[in-house]
Amino acid sequence: MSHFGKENQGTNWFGALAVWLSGISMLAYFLFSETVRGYFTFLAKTLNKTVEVLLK
Amino acid sequence: VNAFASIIYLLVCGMGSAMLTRWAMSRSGPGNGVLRFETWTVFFFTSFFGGFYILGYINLATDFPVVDSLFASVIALVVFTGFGLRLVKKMPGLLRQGENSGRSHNAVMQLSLPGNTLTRTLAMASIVIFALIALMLIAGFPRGYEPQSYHLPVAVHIFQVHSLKVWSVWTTDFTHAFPANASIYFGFLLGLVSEHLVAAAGLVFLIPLGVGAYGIGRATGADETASLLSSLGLVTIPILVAPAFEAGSDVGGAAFLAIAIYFAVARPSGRQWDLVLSGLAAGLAFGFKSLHLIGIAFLFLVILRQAWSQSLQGTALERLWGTVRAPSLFLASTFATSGFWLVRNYVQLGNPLYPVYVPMFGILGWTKAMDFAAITSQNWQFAWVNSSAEWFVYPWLERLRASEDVFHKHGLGPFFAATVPVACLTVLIGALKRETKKSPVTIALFGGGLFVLAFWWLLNDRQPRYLMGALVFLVPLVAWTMDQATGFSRRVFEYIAALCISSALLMTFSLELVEFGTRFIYGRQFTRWAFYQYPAMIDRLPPESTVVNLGHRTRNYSLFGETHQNRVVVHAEALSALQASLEGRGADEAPQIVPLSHLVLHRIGATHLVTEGYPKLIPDECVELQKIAGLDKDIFGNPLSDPISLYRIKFCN
Repeated sequence: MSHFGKENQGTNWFGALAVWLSGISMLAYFLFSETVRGYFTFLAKTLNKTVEVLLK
Repeated sequence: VNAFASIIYLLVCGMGSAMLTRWAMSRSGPGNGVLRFETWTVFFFTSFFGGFYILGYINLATDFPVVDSLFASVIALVVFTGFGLRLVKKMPGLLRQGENSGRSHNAVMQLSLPGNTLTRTLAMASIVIFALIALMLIAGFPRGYEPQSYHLPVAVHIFQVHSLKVWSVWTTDFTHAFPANASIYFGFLLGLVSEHLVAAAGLVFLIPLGVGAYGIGRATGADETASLLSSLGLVTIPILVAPAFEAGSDVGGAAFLAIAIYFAVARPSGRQWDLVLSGLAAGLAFGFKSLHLIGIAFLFLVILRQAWSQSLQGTALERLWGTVRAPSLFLASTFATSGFWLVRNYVQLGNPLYPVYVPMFGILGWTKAMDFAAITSQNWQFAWVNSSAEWFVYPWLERLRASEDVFHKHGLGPFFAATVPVACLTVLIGALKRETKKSPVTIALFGGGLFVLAFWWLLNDRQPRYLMGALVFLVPLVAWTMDQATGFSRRVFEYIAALCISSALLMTFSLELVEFGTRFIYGRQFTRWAFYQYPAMIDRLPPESTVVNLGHRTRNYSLFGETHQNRVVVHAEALSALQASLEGRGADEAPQIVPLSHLVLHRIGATHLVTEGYPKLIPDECVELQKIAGLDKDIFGNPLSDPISLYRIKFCN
């Protein structure tokens, strides 16, 4: 398989660009996704409830 | 007898498919594990569903109730014995023991996971987590909004009346006219194994989907590690994996679309056989989800283009034949596994694609499904986004409304957000720099993804799950993009993908764990009536009872009872027949005003009614209702705001 960034310009700029963009996209997801926020809220509520039930 | 016939059917289909696979592999040159597995999968499911399609045609033509495991196994035995005798004549070594054991040994060797240590560990972790989820699922019963509303009711109905004709009691509910591969699959299993095991049977399709995605990734030229990561990424996308925990049609459809793409785009054997297998898989994908017709149309165009570019030599007639032959093979094979649904709907409803309708169908005189047209609305999209433009950032936002928690909606997840848009961008740059010429598969996949997305946009019913076909085209591009990175960049890319996959797995697993804990440890919902929340009396109704569902639409399946002994008049048909009013409530909610005409109740064969809440029931002079059971508390002992009531109907003489 050819790695065309490397072939064309001596450095693998293409792969590096893809990795940078992926990293930023991943961070954006974990920062802005309401599903992730909702997940942690839900998990916290569940843990609270579980502790309540166990302590009863 | 039924269970015995079902086991024979599975054995005959499995062994017959193994024989056909061996024969096909001997014709297609040196193969690999992916090619062998996907070839067997296509043969197995083609023969499994094919037996029922043949019975369905007989049922359609004669009205005889023949759709049954026993008749299906007779057909499979006859067909595979015929094939076997023919193939053994052509290939004497086909059934030789020594060769078989060598091959199975090779197959076991090829089962070892590809890729580097990181991806192999991740793959093993995924398998363990899915196995744990399967264990949690089999504690319960089949679930899912659509499965409980129509996939499972249709499944039970098919095997109750031994017919594949469109189920209609009063007027045709459009959901009963969809291709019903999922209903055949789950209905068959309901007759063979415990309902608990059926609850986890949707997970099966994740295997051919994952293997298919891996094969497509390899076909782009990507290495094993990158292909395995993209495959794991696909099977952990929440919107795709969540339906695997239900008895639905989404994962089956996506799996067979992936196989169809693998054979059509990658052309693993380089022979015309690829197109036959691709077509058979495409037809099966349609049988699970008719929306995949869009992806299938794109594959047809790809095959047409391949054939055109390969037939540039010879006389005009030879070129024409060369161009027509390959797409015809694909279309004929597609029709072989999808034709039954098209013929059935044309014969019974006057439109092969019913309830799908576009204005052009009017010229052909095809029927329009008014109930389907009424629910298709652009406004549906506002459950996910605030404006149409917001779809471009949806993967990173995944909005939840104030009243919703994470169980409400499944998004595209971290792997999609982090890698797929980037992969699309890199393929686009590669195409502009003409570098993808060395890898035409990537362009075909990119084109396929855009084609499906464009139709999704134009369809005016923008729900994320309807773009599942695009995911199957686009996610393998991540493998190609990852393969472009080398050294440190490549390692970082692998860690990003691994982090996204493991976080999606962790979220999925923990949500299932909470669901399991709530239902079984806290709620003790071990019995069917407690799980689905209905009066236990439903399981003990006299034989031949017909229960009318005047509760929520998702109650359709549960009312069949523990041994599926009851007949059910489903929510939509009940409302239509009785002219019940929802009084402004949602279309799937329990009706509020229900006139009960004895003529109508007689005609639909009703013996019992189930209501939810406090509807105003208005029986005519010849109808008397006797409440025989009820459920007014939830699993925790709290009073239900909408109690469930079961009535026996008494008619005057």
